[in-house]
Amino acid sequence: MTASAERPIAAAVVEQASYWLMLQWDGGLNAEQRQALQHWQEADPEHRRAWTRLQHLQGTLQMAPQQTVRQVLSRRGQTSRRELIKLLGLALMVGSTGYVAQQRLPWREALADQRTAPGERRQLQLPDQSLLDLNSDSAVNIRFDQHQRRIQLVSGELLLTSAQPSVRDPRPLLVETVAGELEALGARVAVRQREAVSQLDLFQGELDVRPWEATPLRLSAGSALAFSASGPLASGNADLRRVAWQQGKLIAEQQPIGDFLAELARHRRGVIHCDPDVAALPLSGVFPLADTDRVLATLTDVLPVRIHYYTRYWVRVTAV
Amino acid sequence: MPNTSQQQLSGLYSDHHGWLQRWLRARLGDREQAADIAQDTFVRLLVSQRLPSVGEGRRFLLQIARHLVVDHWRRQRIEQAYLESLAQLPAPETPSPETRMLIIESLLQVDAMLDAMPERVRSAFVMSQFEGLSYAQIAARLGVSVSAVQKYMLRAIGACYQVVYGS
Repeated sequence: MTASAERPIAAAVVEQASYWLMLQWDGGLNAEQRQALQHWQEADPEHRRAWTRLQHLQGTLQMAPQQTVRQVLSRRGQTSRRELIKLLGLALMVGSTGYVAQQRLPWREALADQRTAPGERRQLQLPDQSLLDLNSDSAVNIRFDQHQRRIQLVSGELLLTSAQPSVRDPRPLLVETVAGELEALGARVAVRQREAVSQLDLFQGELDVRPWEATPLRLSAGSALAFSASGPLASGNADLRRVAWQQGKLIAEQQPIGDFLAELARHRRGVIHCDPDVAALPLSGVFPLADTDRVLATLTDVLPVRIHYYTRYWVRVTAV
Repeated sequence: MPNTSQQQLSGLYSDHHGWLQRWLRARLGDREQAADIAQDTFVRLLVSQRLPSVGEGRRFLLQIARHLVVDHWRRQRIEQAYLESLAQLPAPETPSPETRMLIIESLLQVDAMLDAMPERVRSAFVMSQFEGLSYAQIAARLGVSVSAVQKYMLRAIGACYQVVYGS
């Protein structure tokens, strides 16, 4: 690239130029500021060069169509996408039909690409009679061929209930995540993906866990594991409460409402912002996912919090 | 490159090219793209002039290949999003192929810029540049002061600069 081949500009000069650009981005410069910028540029050829670079940078930003940027944003990696949905709030919601639509990606010989929107959950019966539950805002590719039954968890969370062993199928049943590959042996297993980490709750059967870059291990029923490509990170006991979503419920037990609201936000469109002052308040209860607005309303009965709706999709939880 | 490292490279190639290509094919589901990226992986290795020490080959190659796959997906994702948004335009407004290339390049850069920003900085940046909000409006949305938004924006500009011009 020619740009980077050029001689670098002193950081202090770039900082000064950035300050001007920052001011300009907020409704433009007034006459006085424009003149000051002019003087600054004339003071040193390096100043002018820095300003030209920033103009070029702005050109790149302007070249990118807004609508497409939003669509691109909506498809960033699962966590950042969720963050962005929260952060962008309304703007993304307006143009949201695009990202709910299935991605038709030509390089995957997908038997099926399945994706759920925020607030949507779905159960699929796979060709081998296994059951696959998808949590809200999740995506999988399902690839069955003559050698394997492979489910790629692209984002979000799934619950896989392997077909009864009476259904004889010699092909391995595999779940692929960012962190590694799982082979289900008559298993009922929940798999969720958070950035580079995969979390497992194994309720039944056995599971071979093969992190991409570490020694494989076998998990038996009742255990939970978090692992990354380089190996196990934490282990514990499988917890059915974590798959209550499959029954359309969210279960909290002395859970800080900040965490609870982050989980709840996965099940609805838009943003839930929780003030730090109240985020640590503990919450217990069983909440229906079918009506997340009602869940929010219930919170005010049990905790000293107030719910503000800026818009339907922009919610803020504060102290009373 | 001296002769020994050339031998080392061809050794690496014959030892690793097969599984690497299979690994890529499992990920990409496409034989040709897998072959291309496997090739690119070795080219990168060659260009970098840094050969892995004995026994580190697999790890080293995987690292490069994974990076290339992510780049590939990123490009696909961006092209796809762009084509979809184009499909919503009436025919006369459809840009020429050259313009499309430029736009896709700019989208790739913007994507890389966004990646380089911490979360709150990114949200402020997106609101300013792609939603047309003033700093006062952004401040209200994020529940911070205007001067905090100004700081976010300075960091955002810094991140953009870094992506385009390096440090």
